[in-house]
Amino acid sequence: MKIILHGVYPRSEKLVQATRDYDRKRITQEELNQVFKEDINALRELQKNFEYKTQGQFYFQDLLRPFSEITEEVEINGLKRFYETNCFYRTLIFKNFKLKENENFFNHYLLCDGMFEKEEKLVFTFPFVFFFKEYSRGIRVPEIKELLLYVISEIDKWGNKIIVFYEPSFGWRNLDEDERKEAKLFAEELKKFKNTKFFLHTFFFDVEKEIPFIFSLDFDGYGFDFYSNSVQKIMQNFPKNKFLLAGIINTDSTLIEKREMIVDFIDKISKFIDTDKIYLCPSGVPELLPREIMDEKIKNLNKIGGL
Amino acid sequence: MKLLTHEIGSLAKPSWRVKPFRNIKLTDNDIENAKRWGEFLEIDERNELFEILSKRENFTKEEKEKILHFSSLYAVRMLEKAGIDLVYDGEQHRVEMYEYPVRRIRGFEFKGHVRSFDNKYYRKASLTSEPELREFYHDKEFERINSFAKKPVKIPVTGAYTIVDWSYDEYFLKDIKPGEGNIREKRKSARREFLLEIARNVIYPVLKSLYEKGARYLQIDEPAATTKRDEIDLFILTMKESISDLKGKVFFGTHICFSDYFLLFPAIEELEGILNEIHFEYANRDTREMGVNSEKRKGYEILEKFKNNKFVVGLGVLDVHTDFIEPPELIRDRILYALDIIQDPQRIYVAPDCGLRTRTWDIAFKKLKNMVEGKYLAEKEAGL
Repeated sequence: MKIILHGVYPRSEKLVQATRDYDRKRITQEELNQVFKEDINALRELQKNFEYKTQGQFYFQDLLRPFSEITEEVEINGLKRFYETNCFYRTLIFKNFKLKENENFFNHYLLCDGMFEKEEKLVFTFPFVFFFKEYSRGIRVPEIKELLLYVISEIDKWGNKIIVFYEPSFGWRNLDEDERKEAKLFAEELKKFKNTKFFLHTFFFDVEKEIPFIFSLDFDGYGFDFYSNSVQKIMQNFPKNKFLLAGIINTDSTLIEKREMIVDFIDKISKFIDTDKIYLCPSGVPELLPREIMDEKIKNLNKIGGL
Repeated sequence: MKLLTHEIGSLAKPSWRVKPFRNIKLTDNDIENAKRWGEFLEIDERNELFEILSKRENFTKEEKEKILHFSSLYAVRMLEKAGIDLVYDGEQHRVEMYEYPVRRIRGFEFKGHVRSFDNKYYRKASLTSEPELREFYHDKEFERINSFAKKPVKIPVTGAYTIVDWSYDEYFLKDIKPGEGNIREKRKSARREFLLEIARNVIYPVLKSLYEKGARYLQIDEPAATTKRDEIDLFILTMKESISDLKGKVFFGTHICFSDYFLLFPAIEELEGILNEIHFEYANRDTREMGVNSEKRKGYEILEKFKNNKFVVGLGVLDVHTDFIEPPELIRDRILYALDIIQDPQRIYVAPDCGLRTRTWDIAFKKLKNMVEGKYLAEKEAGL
């Protein structure tokens, strides 16, 4: 079974302490960078047999913030609860939306200042349009699309990438018809990028009512949180030839998944889809768990999934 | 009829209180700070503290206990000097509001840090076995504060819903299988069990013990109350079970902040007669302009929801996230606006938005002093 990691990966206890020490001027930028590198390397090692790897997006303050560096006149505003969690995002306020070239976005945030090569098989995670809209102001959906497409067009040139779009808004709020149309248009526009696979990952909520709409968006694959949704409801109309991101690593619990539970899940799901179309993955946001626990869960799944 | 004022939980811990417990040597500045506030607050026994602090490092267990006693005394005197009616010591005895109680409940294990935002992290625990109260963890604190406070004491207690929401659950959720039918219902049922267990066997005994020791004002802190929209019913249930037969014996308030309060209504009205006061943060969302109309008092929109019930409105009038010192006239207008809606001055208790622990004592004192002055101005204006 294939495993894939997405989103921002949790920082180690050592890195948590180092960022604190840096903020309190107890260590230098160089010393902090060294700890970042150790964290990134450890995550690379954890994924050594994975087809696509994440670099952990450790430099992302949250999934939206780096986008403030490729647009003009953005204010980083107050805290807003990240959906129904005890984590918070800073709302981005766009004063006058205009794209701004900044290589730092790609070199630092995506390639970790030379630690990764453009040619590597990598996974990047970005917010989908409704999620982006939820944590920003002064920017319309067509502009969010423009911003995302600018980034994607650059990444697509590198080749061999998976882009996972996070979208927790499904099942969380009612989306109006105009928003749905925009989302559909965006999914259509993604088809022109031939070197990148695009997955749409939903989580936290029961998305049963949104399934027809989700499947109407022409992505290469779809991700679901199987701690909020049943296999039967998700899979009965799962489109043929699409990939499934099966959210089976519970990011809401420190309990390490039991072998028989995972085997049972794979048995159930493989009645609906070929196993080579499945990527096992975290059910939601990895950084909702402490690093040590998340690492243990991945090692455990790797052991079981490798059977 | 006069308006009543109180604080909301935390204050910063003085450096001379923190460093000895972390085995860090005290500096001249730390000692100077203790002296300056000791004199300003007219702490009678302050020379005893100065003598202990002059050692600067390697404090004994008994000396650390004395330092803790003094930081508690200083905090209470600071609130009294500002003119606050119900006082507390600003959590001088506690690490913070989550870790402190959780470390005193058997069954929880700390698992590591989780990001709250930016580079800010909090330590998160998981319930791994049946929860059981280890000790009545606020009794000593109450008895100490009550022994020297010149005003009635109000003790904040972290509520069951917040403890559960900020924790992982390996115990009640252990049999959940991914992708199974009705998984959300099963998770909610496990959640209900977890909440009831904490409410009945941890929070209720803690509240009861405080009552038996003489506490008559208790504040149940529930900042997580509105985190999950489909769990408002569980929050209400938890509150009922936590207070249980103590209703009417103690003045119970709840403090909820930085949330969408509209989600609580009308469900929270079920707590009428159980819960006396509901305190929200308002000033953080308000303008800083004077005036008593809805345009100037944008942050106080939710007050309309208190028109048709009998709750005391805990009215946040100080923004705790800024060093801006609210002038008394601004506080006056915030109170007058609330009075105009609520009509009954007995139903308004004036307070900061939340705990002031992120502010220095100098800033916190100025803010609180102005709050009391603003209250007097409002009373005068309203002819109370």
